[in-house]
Amino acid sequence: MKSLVLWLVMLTVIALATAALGWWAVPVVAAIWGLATPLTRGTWWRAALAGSGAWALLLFFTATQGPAGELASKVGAVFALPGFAFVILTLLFPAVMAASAAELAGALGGAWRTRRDRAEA
Amino acid sequence: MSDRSKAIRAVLAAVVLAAVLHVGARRVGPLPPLGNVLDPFSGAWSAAATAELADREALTIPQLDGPVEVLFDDRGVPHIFATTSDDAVRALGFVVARDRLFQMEMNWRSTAGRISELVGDAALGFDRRMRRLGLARSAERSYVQMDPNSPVVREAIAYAEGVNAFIDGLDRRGVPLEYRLLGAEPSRWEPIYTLYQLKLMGWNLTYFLGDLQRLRVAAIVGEEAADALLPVNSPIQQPIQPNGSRTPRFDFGPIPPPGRPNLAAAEWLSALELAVGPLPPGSESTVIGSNNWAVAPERTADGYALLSGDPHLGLTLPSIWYEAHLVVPGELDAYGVTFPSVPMIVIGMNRDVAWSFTNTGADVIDFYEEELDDTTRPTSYRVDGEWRPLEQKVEEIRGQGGRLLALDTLYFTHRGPLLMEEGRRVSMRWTVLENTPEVDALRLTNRAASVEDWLDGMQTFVAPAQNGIVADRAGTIAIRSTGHFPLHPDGRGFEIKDGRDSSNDWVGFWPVERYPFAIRPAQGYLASANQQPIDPGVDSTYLGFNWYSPWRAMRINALLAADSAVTPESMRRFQTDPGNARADFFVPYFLEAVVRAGNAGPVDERAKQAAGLLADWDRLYTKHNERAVLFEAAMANLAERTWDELLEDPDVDSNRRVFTPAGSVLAGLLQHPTNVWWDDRRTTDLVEDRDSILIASLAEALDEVVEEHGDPSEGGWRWDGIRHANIYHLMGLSSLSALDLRLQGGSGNLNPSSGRGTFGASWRMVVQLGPEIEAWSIYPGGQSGNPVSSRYLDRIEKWTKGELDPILFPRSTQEIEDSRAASVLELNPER
Repeated sequence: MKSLVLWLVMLTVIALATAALGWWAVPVVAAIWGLATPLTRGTWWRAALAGSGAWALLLFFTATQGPAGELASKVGAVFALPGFAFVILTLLFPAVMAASAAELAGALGGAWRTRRDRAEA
Repeated sequence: MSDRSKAIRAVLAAVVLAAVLHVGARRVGPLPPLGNVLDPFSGAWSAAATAELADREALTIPQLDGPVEVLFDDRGVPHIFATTSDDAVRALGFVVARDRLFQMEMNWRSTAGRISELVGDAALGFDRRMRRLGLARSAERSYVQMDPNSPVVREAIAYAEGVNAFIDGLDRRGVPLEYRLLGAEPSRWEPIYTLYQLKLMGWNLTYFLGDLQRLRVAAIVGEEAADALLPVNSPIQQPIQPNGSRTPRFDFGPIPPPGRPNLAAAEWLSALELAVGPLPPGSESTVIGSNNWAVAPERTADGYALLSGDPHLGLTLPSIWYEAHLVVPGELDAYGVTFPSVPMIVIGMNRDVAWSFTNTGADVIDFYEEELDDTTRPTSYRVDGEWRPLEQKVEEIRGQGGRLLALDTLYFTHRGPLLMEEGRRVSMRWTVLENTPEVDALRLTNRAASVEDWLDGMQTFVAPAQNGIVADRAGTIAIRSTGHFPLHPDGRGFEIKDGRDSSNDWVGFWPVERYPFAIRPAQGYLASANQQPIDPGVDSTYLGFNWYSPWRAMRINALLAADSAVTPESMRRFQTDPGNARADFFVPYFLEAVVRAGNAGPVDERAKQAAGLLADWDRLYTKHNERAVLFEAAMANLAERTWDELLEDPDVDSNRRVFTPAGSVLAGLLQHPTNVWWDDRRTTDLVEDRDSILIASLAEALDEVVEEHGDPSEGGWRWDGIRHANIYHLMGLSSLSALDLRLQGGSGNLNPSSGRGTFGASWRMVVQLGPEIEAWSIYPGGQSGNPVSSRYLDRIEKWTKGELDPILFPRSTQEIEDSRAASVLELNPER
C-alpha cells in the first residue's frame, strides 16, 4: 500500500514538474525517487509507469482543451508515423527517461550507501 | 542482485539515459529535439490546447494609449476598435502575431536571407542568393531616410510593440507548433520588418529576369528572332487603359526565321545564371495571374459601382493574407487583407472607396557590365574614366544554434548589387532596391475618401508596380498602373549595358501623368489581368517586353461588355468563370487544319478523332468537363513541335526547351502557314507547315491522353480529376497542407490553374459601393496559422467552389450581433 502511494506521489510530481518546468523534469524527479528508495528489480518499471502515467495524465488534460487526436495524426505524419504511434512515442519517451534515471540513481545511491556503511563499520 | 548485475544495470541505465536525454535536447539528423515535441503539456501537443480563441480575454499591451476592443467575428476576422491609429496597429500586431507568428518570422527571415538559422544548411543557397540581392540592405537604407516622427514610422514601431507584447506574454504552451518541430524559439520583432515584407513582395512580383530569358533565346536563335519571340508589344492588344475598342486588336506581324546563335549572349547567360540562380524554363502552361475589374453604376443592376479584387499569388498555408478591420473613429475605418507584417490594409475598402491590385509586370531590372580594379578583391569600379569606391558588406550566414555556415563579401555599385561569376562582373539596378516609400502610399489608401484621393495617395508608390483599380460610392471607377517605370537612354531595357558609361544609366522614371490610366471610362467598366497596360499606339515608350498573353483580359472584357446589368453575384461568378479565350482562339485552327487536310487527301485517323472530340467541346473548363484535357495536351504538343528550335540540345533525348514564347506569339505564328518555324528540325526527311504540325499535335495528344487517362468514354478525362490546386504548408509538410483540391479553371481562365497547382486566387473580393458598402470575400485557408485550429482550413471548401462569404463591416461593436461574435479581446494599457 505504501509503495503504491509513493508511486502515485511520484507520478503526480512528475506530471506537475513537467507542466511547470518542461520535459527534462521527468529524469530529475525519477532520479530523486531512485536515490530516495532502495534499488530493487521493480525500480525501473515502477519509474517507467510513473513517467508514462504522468504524461498520459497531461495528454488527457491537453485533449480536454483541443483537438489532440487531429494533432497526433498531423504531427505524427510529419515524422512518418500514424497518429497512434505518435501517442505511443509520447508515452514511451518519459517511460524510458524515468526508468533509466531511477535505475542509475538507485544504483549510485546504493553504492554510496554501501560505501558509507562500510566506512562506518 | 549481485554487485556485478547491479553494475551492468547501472551502466546500461546510464547509456540509455544519456541517449534519451540527447535525443530529447539535441537535433539528431533531421529530427528536432524530441523533448519539446513530445512534451504533452508544452510541446507540440500544446498546439491543440491553444487552437481556439477564448470567449473573452483581457490582456495588456504596455505601450497602448488607451483601451482597445477587438471583436473576432465567426470567420475569425478581428474588428479592432481603438481611439488612435497607433493603438489600432498595436492591436493589429498583437492579433496577427497570435495567429501567424511563425509565418511572420519566415517572411522577415526570407528577406534577410536568414532562414538557415531556423532550418539549417538546406537553406544556405537561398540565403546567399537573397543576401546577394540586398533586399534587407535596401529596406534598411529606406528606413533610416524616413522621418522618425512620420505616421508610418510611428505605426511600424507601434505594430512591433504589439507583436512583441504578444511574444513577451507567450508562455511555453503558446509557442507555435512549427517552432517545436524546428527546435527554435520566436525572435523579437523589429519595425523594419514591415519594410522587409514589402521588399519581399517586390522580389516575388518583379524579379522575373526577362533580360536573361531573352539572352537565352538569343544565344540559340539570334537577336532578331529573340526580338520577335519576346516582343516589346503584345501581338494581341486589349490594354488596361481602354484604347477605344471593346474588342481585342490582333497585331500579328511577321516572325523572322531562327538566326545565327549569339555566342556572346551564351557566355553572358552562363555567368548570370551562376550569379542569380537558374532560370525557370518559362512555359505558357504555367501561366498564372491576377485579375481586377470595376463596373460603373450605369452598367450595374442596382446602380452602384462594383469592384472585384482577385490577386493570384503563390498559395501557402497559412495564407499570404490576413483579414482584418481597423476602426479609429473619425480617422480610419478600413477593412480588407494585410500581409502579416504590415500595419495597414493592403487590399480592401473603407466607408467610401474599395481597391485592389494586379501586378503590372513592367521591366524594372537592368544589368550593367562593370570594370573593376581587381577581379578577386575589388575595391572600386570605373565610371566615365573615374574610379568610384565599391561599397562592401561582409555577411555571416549562420545555421541552427548560431553555427557559422559561410562568410560572403557583397559589393555594391551606385546601381545596386554586384554579381561576380566566371570572370563577368555585372551590377543590377532594380526599382525594388531603391528608396521606396510604399508604406506611406498604402497608408493613405486606407484613408481615401474618393477615387481621386486614392489616386493621389498612391502617387508615391514605387515597387512592385501595380495596376490599382479603385471605385467609390459616388460611382467613379478608375485604374492606374502605378510604380517606378525606368526611362532608358536607348529606349530598350533588355540588354546588358556598359557600366563604364554613366550615360547608360536610367534617365529617370515615367512621370505619374503618363502612367497607364483611365477614369470614368465611356465603356463603363475597367479591367486588368497583367496584360500590356497601354496600347503602343497611344504611348510607345518602352515599358517592358514578353507580356503575359491577354487571354484573361479578353475574357473579362467580353463578359463585362456583354452584361449591362452586372450584379454582385455575376461579379462573383466571373471570378471563376470557366470560359477561356485561349481555347476560343486556338481550337478553330486545329479543326480547320483537319478539314483542309481532309479536302486534300487522307488524314491521320487519330487526328480526325481528336478533332471530332474537340469540336464537341463547349470550351469551358468546368470541373466535369471531359475535353479540356485533350486541348491542353494538344497545346503542349503544339508548343513542343513548333518551338523545337529552342531546345537546349536537340540531339539529346532528355532535351529541355529553354524558353516557351507566349501564347499570343504562337497565335501570331498561326497567321503564317509556311513560316520556317513550323518545320520540326528533328524530322530531317520532312518540311512541316502549320497544318501538318497542328494535325500531328492533335494525333499525339489523343494518344497521350488515352494512355494516361483511358478511353474518353471511361470517365477518366474529367477536368477536376486531372488538374488540382495544391496548397502547401510554409515548411512543405504534406500533413499540414491542403492537397489535390478540385477546381474549375485552367490555363488562360480567370481562375487559372496550371502546373503544380501551387499558384492561384489568393484573395477574392466583391464590393458594392452603395449608400452602405456591401462586400463578400474568401481566401484559401483560414485566419489561424495553427494547423489544428478550426480556423486553419475553414475557408478552403468555399474557395474551391468559387463561393464568397458576406463580410461583416460594423461601425461599432454594438453593430455585431452576439451570434456572429466568436471572441472578445480587451487590450489595456499598463496600469
